[in-house]
Amino acid sequence: MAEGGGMVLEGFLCPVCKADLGTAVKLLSHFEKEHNEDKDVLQAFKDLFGKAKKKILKNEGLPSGDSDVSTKSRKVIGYSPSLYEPQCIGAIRSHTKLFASVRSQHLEHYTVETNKLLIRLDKILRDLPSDPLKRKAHEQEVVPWVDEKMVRLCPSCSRSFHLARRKHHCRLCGFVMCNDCSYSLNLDVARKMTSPITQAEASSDTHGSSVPTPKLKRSNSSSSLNSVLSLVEGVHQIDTGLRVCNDCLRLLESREALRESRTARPILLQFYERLRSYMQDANQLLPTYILMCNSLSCGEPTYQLKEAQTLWGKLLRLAEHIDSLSKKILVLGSADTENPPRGRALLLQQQIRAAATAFLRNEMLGLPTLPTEAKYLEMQEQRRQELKARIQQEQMEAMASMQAQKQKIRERGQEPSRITYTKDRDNVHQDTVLLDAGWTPDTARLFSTDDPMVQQMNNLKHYIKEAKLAHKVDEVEALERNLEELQEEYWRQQEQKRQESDS
Amino acid sequence: MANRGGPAQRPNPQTQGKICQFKLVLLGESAVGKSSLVLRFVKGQFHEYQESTIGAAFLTQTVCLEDTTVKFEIWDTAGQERYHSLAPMYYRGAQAAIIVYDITNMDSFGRAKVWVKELQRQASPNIVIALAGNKADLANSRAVECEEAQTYADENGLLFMETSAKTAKNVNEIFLAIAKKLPKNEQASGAGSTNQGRRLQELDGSPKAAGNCCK
Repeated sequence: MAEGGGMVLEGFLCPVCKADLGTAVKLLSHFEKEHNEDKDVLQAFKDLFGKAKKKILKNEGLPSGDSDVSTKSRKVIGYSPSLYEPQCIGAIRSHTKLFASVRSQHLEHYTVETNKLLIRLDKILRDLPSDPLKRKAHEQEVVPWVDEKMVRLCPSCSRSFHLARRKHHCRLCGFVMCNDCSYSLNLDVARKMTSPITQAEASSDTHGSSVPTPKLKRSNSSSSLNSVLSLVEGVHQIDTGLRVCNDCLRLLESREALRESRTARPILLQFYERLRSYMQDANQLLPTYILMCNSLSCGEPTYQLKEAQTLWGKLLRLAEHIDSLSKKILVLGSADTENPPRGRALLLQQQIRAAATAFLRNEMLGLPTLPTEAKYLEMQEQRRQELKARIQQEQMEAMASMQAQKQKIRERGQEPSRITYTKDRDNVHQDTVLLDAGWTPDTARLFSTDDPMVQQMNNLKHYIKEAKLAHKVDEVEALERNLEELQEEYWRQQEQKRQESDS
Repeated sequence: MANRGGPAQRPNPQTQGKICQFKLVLLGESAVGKSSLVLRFVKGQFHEYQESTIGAAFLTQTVCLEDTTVKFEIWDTAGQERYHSLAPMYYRGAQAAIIVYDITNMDSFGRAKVWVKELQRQASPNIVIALAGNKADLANSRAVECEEAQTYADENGLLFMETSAKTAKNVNEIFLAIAKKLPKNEQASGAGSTNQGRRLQELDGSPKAAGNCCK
């Protein structure tokens, strides 16, 4: 683009006198005649043309020797198509900015127009009188109507108005058109348009979660078309709706379509989300179930068989849901014979089903089954026997080790003064440990763990630490209160002891 | 706030009138199943090889009655003789106590009676005492007859149930019975101890607020 003094010249311009010669041949002959003295320039000019031609001809695959002939013949014809061919790559300019500025202007215009319409619509809808006369006045108050005497022909179909084709005003821009060119905007639809986006979304969401099928219709790309069609059908009952012109309706509709495309969630997505939530539930329950099942099948009474059975029932139900839902996803849309899912959409559906079956196979089918009541009791009995045997063995070992200890002590010539050995089977283990601790040379350790008071204080400190970590404030409080009590009691006892020893 | 585990439901502040907090202590001879009882009540678990308690363990559990939420601060004391000196620290100021014995062990029942006497002498006069005959699943090697324990409990005004931590029999029931028997307002709770049945919250919706116009 050449810019000289704000004026732009285009065409076959003579570089010297800037006259437009119309064609390349005329320009050349003009230059030879008028500006003959400038031989160098002429030569350069000719070369320029020649070079360009040669390059283009070479690209066409013609032998270079023929180039002269062809250029001559073309000169004779007086038309060189090579000049109109795409140029070889030279300078590159970005027009994005220009494009963007033009586009944004355009968009802004539409947005402003649409918003204006929406504001008017909102004003009209707000306390719209039901009485036709009052309603008309209210509408005119919001949007001033064009004087109908000024309009002779309908601006959209350019037919004249008469008794049978009466003039009507668009309620949104106030322009005049005939009945056939006007549409009735349903008031409910209009209200939905003016309602804030969030509200519309919320309502569509609740709609979708309760009954998924109508969503299918709504998310369909032709939904806006449908609503337009329904509007056209409703023309005869115009008084229930708002009469609008084609342009206004189109603006509103395109905005609606945009909004819908933003909020619309295809049914597949909803199904898939539900599927994922089922899988998550199952994943949460699985570890607990496996733990319970393993424990139960070993005959351990840690968990109850009934609890595990209810958990198993839950898991089964989840598996059934996952299976049926993934099947539904697989056959989604296949009932539509005209436009069945194809390509990537179909692939997606198949893969979701494959993933679901893989999940079921890997996670759910391999689950261990719970033992039956009878089997469980049997296992429990067996375990009890084993435990008995183990306890006996441990007792034997404990006795043996004690004997050995006593032996050792006797050898050293010492007699343990304090052995609290009870018959109680649960304490056998504990006591042997104490015995060991009692006779290790580390007396300091013995001291610190021997006093139950000190032991409990240590316990409490540990509990407090844990409770603090778990952010259980009131528990920390209760524990600290107890620790204080203990400490007081402990000091009191110490004091007492000292006094006793003093006296 | 962090999740407070356990099978009991979280109280719903809209419907719950008040929340009461009570200190409960478990006493009894060693290896009668005090810790197992608490573990079953708080976590719904049971371990055959429950280690013996050192000192005292502390657990909390919340139960919902019709209009009140009762939060138990449970002190599970060690049964071994050498920890006996700690016990007064825990039953002092407690609003409830469960004295546990083993139905297959007559000695443990005798020890339980000693605990009852000690509580009657030294604990708060309004303390709610429950007697639990644990290990009811081992009824075929029973040494303490149910009637005998029931009669003793009636004479001394104790709640009584035979429980089993292993099968969960009567575990929740005994705690619920205690919760029901505990006084739910400050006036009813006795003198002396400072933290008896503390009422933690007075909710806005209570009928006291006569100034409110709506409802």
